[in-house]
Amino acid sequence: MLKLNGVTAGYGHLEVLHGISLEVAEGEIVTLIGANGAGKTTTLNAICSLVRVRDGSIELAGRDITRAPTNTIVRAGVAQVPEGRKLFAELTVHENLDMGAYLRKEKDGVLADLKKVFGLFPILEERQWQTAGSLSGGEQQMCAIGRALMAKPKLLLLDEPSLGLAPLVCRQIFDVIRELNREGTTILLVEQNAHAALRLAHRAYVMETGTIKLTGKAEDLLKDEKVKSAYLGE
Amino acid sequence: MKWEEIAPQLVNALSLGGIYALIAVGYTMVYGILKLINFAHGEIFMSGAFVGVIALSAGWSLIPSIAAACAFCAVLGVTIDRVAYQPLRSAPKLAPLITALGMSIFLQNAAMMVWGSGMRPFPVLSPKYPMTLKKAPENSKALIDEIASRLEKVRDGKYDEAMTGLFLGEYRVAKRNLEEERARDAKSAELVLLEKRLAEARENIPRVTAVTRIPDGLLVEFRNGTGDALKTLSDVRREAQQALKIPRTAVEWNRMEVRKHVLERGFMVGGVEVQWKQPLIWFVTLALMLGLEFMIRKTSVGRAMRAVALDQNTAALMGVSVNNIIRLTFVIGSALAAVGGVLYALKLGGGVVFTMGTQVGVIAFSAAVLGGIGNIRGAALGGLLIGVITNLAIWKLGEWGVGGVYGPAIAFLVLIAVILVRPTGLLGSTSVERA
Repeated sequence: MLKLNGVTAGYGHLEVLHGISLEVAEGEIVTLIGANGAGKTTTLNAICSLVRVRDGSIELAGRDITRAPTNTIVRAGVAQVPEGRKLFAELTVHENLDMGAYLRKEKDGVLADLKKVFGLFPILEERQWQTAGSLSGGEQQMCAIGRALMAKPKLLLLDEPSLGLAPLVCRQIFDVIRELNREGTTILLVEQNAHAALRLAHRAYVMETGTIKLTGKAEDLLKDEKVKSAYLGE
Repeated sequence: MKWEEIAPQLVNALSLGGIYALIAVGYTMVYGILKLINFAHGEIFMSGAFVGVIALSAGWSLIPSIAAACAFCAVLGVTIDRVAYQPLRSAPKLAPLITALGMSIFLQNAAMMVWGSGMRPFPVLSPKYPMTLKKAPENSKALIDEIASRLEKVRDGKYDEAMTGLFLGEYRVAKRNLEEERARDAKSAELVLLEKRLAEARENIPRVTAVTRIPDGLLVEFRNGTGDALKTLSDVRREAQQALKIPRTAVEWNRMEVRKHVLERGFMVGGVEVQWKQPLIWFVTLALMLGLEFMIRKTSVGRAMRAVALDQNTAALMGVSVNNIIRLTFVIGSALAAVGGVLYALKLGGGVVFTMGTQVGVIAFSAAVLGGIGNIRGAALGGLLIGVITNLAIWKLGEWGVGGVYGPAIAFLVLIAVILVRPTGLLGSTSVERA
């Protein structure tokens, strides 16, 4: 589904990614774990062309999307739940969800997906006419995921969906991610909560200072001594 | 203060405020999306005024003229963005700001080179028949051709054209010339034909015999060549009424009023005369503002605009083409400034000059700041307030002998006072975002 070959990217004179290669197969949950500043968010932004790729290539379903405009990548079926939610704070919850479906023309399908999002997160239906900025952190994360789902993505990129959330809310969100995957959405999950991420994912990549250090099946990495000491705090 | 004194000032103030609001919206929209003060916006307004006045002078009516100004300014606005601002999208904020100042100076000078440095007068919109009296051709054949061509126009019902430049003397000249030619060659077939045509013309063409000024137009009297009542005068009257779209009562037996263009006329309300153009300006401004508000609040494109204003990267992640939205912002802002420009020229009536964008631009920008820069409703409110304050200040200062030129200074004092108390402007938000 998604394939990165030796992707190099950065900001200004600073190079953040030094040749990242990774792959996400259709129907998989792949997680990208690593410490703060390892380049996880930059990797997602490179996929969406929010950061300019300097070298290497990115393929989506066999198509080269390196440096393609962000909106074409979204049109091709990629949705991102960005780090820190990035909701449109002054727009209502409903308007935020509508923004997710910006490129979609079929009104019925959009309405059905809105119902589905409200089914997953009933609190959003209750708060749909409030501004997104007035939601609590957990509700905002739900809204951000709901907004991405409104695009009916084939590939969902999630950036730290558990950051700053209460454990209960966190579990609810991870349940939703598993559910979405079961329905056929391919997922690339960036997480600091390595434990939860590794238990959810099929495969994982471990990032360190802009390079991929380790890769393998999630269950194997859960048992890996180095991973245990560095990321699982055991 | 008497109603008769304050009412005309309020009428003026509201239309000036509406025009400022139209221009202020352009500043605020571009600022909202690019965090850039588009100093060239005043020059877009000026260009719109010029294109409008040029189109009106060419005989276009008001709506096509405004449309032409909008189209011109929309292209101009997008071009300015493409050439001057787009290459600096990721540069420090100061760079596009200085570029905007440079663009403003460049456009002002370009306008001076293309349209001249003098004032281009606002055209007289009323029909101008009595103004274009032509000297009768010396040659009798040419004269009769001229008369005959007018006869054709009368038959086609084009009285306004037929009556242009007609006066009694022409017939005398034509008749004398014919007689002279008959003395030389009495049997010319062409001459006989000419005489026949002249006689026909004498009977049928209404000719202007007197023009008198009346309060809201001109009174034109016309009769046939012999001074008798025209045979077909009742037909002429009926057709003239239809052709010139004037009320039946305006046409008397052999007199017709050539009414001023509606935008140059007024109507009385409560003992105060209001120029028709004033409510027109209110209506156009209000309609455009409501339309814009609807677009921004209720349509998918409007939602995308608000999203881009809040966070460009995230809007792009929704599939929004940020550059298209920015272009659309320039199109809308510039078109509204163009409407403002034409209405401003219409309101003042004097004319347009290449420097006009500077002062109006600064005032409209202040209006945007007063309302809260980035906020469209704020720009509308700010424009209206600044317009009313400026107008009333010009009037009162003039009355007190201080000089009306200080009017805008009062508006700026109000702006400073408001900004001291509310730095974000009247409707500006101090947006608090929760993590």
